[in-house]
Amino acid sequence: MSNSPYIQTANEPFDAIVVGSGITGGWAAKELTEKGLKTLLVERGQAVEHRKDYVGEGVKAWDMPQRGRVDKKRVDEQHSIQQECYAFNDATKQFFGNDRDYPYQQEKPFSWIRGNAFGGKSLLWHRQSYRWSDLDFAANQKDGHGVDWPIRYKDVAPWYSYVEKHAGISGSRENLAVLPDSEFLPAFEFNQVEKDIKKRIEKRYQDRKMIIGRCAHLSEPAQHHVEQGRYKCMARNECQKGCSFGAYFSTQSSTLPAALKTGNLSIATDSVVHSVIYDDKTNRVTGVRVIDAETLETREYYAKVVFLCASTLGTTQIMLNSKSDAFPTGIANSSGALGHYLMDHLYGVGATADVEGFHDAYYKGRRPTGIYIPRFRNVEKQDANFLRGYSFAGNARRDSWQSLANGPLFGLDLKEKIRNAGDWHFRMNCSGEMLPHYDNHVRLHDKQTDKWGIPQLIMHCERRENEEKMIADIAKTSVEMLESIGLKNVKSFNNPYTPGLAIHEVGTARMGRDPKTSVLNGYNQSHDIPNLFVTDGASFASSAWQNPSLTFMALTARACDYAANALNRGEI
Amino acid sequence: MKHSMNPSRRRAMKSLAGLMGLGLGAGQLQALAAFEPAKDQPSQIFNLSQTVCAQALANVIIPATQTPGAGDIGVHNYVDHHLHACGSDQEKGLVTAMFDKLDQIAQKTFAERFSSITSEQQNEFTQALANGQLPFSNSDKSGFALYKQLVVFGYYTSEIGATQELSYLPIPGGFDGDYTFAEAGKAWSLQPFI
Repeated sequence: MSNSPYIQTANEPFDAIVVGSGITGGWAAKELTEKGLKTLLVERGQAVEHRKDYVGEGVKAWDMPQRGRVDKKRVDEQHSIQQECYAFNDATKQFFGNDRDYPYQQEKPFSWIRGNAFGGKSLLWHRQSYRWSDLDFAANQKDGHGVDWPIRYKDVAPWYSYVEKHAGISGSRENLAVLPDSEFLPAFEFNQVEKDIKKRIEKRYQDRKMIIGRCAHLSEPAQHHVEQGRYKCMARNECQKGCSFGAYFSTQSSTLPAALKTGNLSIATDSVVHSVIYDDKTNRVTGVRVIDAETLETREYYAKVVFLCASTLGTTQIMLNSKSDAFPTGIANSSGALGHYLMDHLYGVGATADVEGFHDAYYKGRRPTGIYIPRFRNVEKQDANFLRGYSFAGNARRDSWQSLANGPLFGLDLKEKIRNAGDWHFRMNCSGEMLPHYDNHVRLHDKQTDKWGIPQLIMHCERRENEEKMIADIAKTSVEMLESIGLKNVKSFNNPYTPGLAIHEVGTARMGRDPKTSVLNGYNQSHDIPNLFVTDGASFASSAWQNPSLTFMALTARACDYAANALNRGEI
Repeated sequence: MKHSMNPSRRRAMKSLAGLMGLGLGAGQLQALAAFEPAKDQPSQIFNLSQTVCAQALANVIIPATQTPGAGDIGVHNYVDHHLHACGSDQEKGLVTAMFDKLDQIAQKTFAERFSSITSEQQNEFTQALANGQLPFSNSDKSGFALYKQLVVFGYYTSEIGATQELSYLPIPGGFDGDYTFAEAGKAWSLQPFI
């Protein structure tokens, strides 16, 4: 017999509450329920059922009112910020945050791209998945910026393996110290032009490699994926609309089915968490206060342990809003670090080039990943005028109707060129590390609130000296690389993204060894309150240069293991 | 999209055109009335003159080959709808002013509207327009660039453009990086991000 997991009010306390159903919330729900904990997964947005609610999937362009574009009125009124995201369109808009209902203040420009439906950004993410190494975990200790991560690669490695096997990560074994291999499903192929460019780059530069992008796609599903009801990736590259094949990792395709199977999961959707409930006599959190997304009525849920997985800034907003006499500046904030050390990746700088020839080379399928050039700056030694480093992601493609629409051609010339597939081009874009800085922070507005009466966040995050030096190097190096390997018409682009737009914001409730300077310990457990855990990006002490989501998953699974054991031993 | 026109509609279009002194030929009337825009909406932005010009210009941008031209399948009406739904006031203004300018210059040079001059003459004007050469201004040039972008978008996301002119493969089944263009025969229509 299967009962619906959805609840609205709860008459009994749970063992665990997980706030947020995205990448980390889904993992927390799976891990905690699998360890026997009755778990409530609380999501602010509406329910999204796998397959059933993928309303934009498979809809032909000519059957959509604006062929996939969103009408201006709706964009201006409800998605003025979300529309900056490359994945925002008429088939995905229902999964994105609502800027009218859930606004925020930009003390410095910040593009806060977020989900607002069950599954969070696990429905919308780009699926790029990379491990960190000790070059990243030890970076703060080495150069003194930020506080030392209280963990190292050896602590996380078994958990990377654990989450990778379940999620399914496609990639190639490269044996690179700077980017450890994952447990891999077969890698996606390069196209002919990329193969040629890879040869040229690796011949010209001994310390640089071009690999295929590692991604959370079932290039070939393993048996246990098939048993979960997941299928091979069809290479449609329309993932953000929802994938009924379950071929990329999302809460819906991967972690939720596992959690539901245990019978221990309850789900409350349309439930905006206002604050965490704290009992100062026992120094424990006891649950969460919720505002109904539609009716604005309040209710409470109770549990023995609370996991905040509401996304970096969603989690920190809840913590800042959870004030008490014991914690006047926000729950678990005796350090004063809550809200501070916000980081996002440097994006928007790189180069493009024309590739001559290869007129009979083409491809079939819309590959859901690109090429990747792992960090080569400041690896063996400090060799640049800035600290830390960056990677490149890119691809080689032939001109299509989309790229030729903006060119000089029209008429028969244009129609023929489109039909015969145009010339090849190569493009690469950076992902650069941002240093942790106290003044890059968020705080709550003392007056402005959102639709649910919750104080709005004020964002203040800016690039500083190290970031500007890194950007200058990225611009120069990308051009130099492409020119030196013989590509033509190499052009730089240098339009650094507004902070937030890389959608890799991390920090604001950082891990650290010292409770005086950090919010969480090495198990994502708050220093101040033993039964409060934060496992999303808010927990990060540094940003590294790799996409963060795989590390979110590993830290979450590890923290759940610790929390469940601690709960069972009566320690929390 | 259906392309036949019922007689009462033809009469209505003809009388309207007559009222506006356009004196359209049968082919132009057919083309005007052949389109059934999304949800059968009438023209939102383009007036009748502009619609006629838009259709002719769409056929210049994407002419008929073994598949129809953009104007033939009503892409100009789609662009009208698209501008109404998604365009800013500035964008709408740039495009409609550009149509008016084209008709004005054609009238001045050949005593005919743009849609009535020869194909060669249309191409010549369009080239000057695309380059922003006199008598066309920079804003005419911008209006054309925008219209062209939208015509290309509207054509290759239409059923004919996506499935007949190009190769339509909604579910590729996997990625093959060694596929040759000879095997493909023509380019793929679907693009990852719209």
